[in-house]
Amino acid sequence: MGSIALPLAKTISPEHTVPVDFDALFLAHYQSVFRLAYRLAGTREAAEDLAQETFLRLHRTPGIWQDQEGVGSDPVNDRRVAAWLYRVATNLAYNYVRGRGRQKRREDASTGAMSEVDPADMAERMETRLAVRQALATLPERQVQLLLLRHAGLSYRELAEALDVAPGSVGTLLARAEAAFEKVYNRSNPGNMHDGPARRDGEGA
Amino acid sequence: MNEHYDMGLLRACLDGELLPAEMAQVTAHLEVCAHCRETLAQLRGRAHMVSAAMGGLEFRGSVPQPQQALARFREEIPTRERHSFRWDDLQRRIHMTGRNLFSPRWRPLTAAVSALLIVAILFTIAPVREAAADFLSLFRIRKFAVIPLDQAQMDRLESLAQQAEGAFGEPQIVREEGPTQVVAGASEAAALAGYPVRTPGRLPEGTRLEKIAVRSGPAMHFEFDRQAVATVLQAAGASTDGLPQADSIAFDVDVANAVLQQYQVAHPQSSFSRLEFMQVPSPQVDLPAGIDPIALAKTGFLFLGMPAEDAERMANSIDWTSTLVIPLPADAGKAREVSVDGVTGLLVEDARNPFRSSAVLWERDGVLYFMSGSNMDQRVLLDAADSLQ
Repeated sequence: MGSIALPLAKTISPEHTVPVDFDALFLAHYQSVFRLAYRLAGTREAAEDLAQETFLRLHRTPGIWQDQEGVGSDPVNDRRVAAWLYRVATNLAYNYVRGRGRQKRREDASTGAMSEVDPADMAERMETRLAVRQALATLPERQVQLLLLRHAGLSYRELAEALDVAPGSVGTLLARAEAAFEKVYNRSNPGNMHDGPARRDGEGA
Repeated sequence: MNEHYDMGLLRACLDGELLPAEMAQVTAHLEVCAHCRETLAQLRGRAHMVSAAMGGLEFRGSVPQPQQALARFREEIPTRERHSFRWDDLQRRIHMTGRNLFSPRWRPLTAAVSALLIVAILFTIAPVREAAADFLSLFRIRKFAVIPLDQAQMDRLESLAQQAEGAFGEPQIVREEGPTQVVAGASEAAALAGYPVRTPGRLPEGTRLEKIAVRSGPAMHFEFDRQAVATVLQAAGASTDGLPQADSIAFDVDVANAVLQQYQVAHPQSSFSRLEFMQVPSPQVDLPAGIDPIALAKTGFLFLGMPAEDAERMANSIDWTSTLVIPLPADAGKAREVSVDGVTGLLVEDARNPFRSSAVLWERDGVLYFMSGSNMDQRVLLDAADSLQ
């Protein structure tokens, strides 16, 4: 993670109003954002759409990326933009799975996940993924963002920046989020029960 | 407990995220403390389990090429911006509130039940896909009115929406909403929709009709459990005055065929100028007996923090059976009445930059019109609206 923007070819044609720097950011971070969105959304189509929406938000919020010199090549600014993008992407993806949730859940179980089928994938794996996503969809947004981003490889400092929390609290928040996830996941998948019951330290904000 | 480390620190220790000095302290402590060792083991097991679960979610195909995604992004900007009306905050908030309050199918309706919920529900309209269609899927609309809201009021509504989450169940779908059918032109659209289709007579030279389509609206039957509605209102600290006494509040909504037109507008100042135009016969809503919209509206205004006198006045000044009330965050959008198509309509614009996004809404002869323009001079929009034929 924490990809650094490369000085990419500025291929934008003159009639477009999109600033060149925006393109560099797009190209540098697109794949990370896509992967992040995919983890939650579960289909390529939805992930692409969420990634596009994420960058649209960035595009619309030039204050995030335009107020410093050397956008895209300055590591400090780039990290800030990345943090912002990750927060927005996970927020959108979370909203997506929640919003789609209730009424479509059954369809997802049967067909929705199928659209993404990798022939090598066994049905069981797909079920597991679906169960994981469903468990995530029931957790508070902040916990889901934390789990996703941590798993995407962000350091505690990066997590703190992306989620706007104190760096010293990341360990606690992460422990809580993991406990909350375990609890929900095990409840819906008794077969996957991990050793030992979740402790009461698992709750809280 | 004091002599044990808290789990946050131990969790950070697992990830190697402690400073070297802290790390040394914790390590030394673990040597002598079985309790902390146990906690650490538990955290580790859980972290592995979560990590395994999350690992399964990873994308394993070939990731889309950024260059292609960027090309698509540029292409889609106008459409996406239109859907969100470009008012980011408004869009986000509406979306969140709407999602919390109702499943998508609830959206068109709650409006009719209580003015309070009308206010909340309308938050769902603009932003979501097919914005315009949803926007207008409400009772018999003859007029539009805007209620400007400040941040605190928006927050109150959001919290109400959160409390209401899932409280009302699902509506019965009498007739499913149809797919959007793209047609060749206005006459084909008219044949499909069942009524005459109007098109703008004046648009800048070089403007291109991108798409014309017809979409059939849903018919729905709603039954609110009075108790559920009352509980939500009470939990929010709002009054239940104005709710009918019957246990169940039932009503029907029927939305007719909508005709949508999209134009790529030739504009000297932008290559992203788009005009979107929708017309739909005003949807029908049969309201339940015994509902008192004025009392409900007053409740809503009080809930938003309006002084009693103002709430009373506002509630009485609006004809709730025919007015679509649009709550508009004051910092996101501005609205004013304009003369359009021979009637009085409402012009809503991006508060910061009307050029970016404006929309005009009006009703004429039982038909609702909604025209929005992005990246264009407002005069182009109004001129197009005024030249329908």
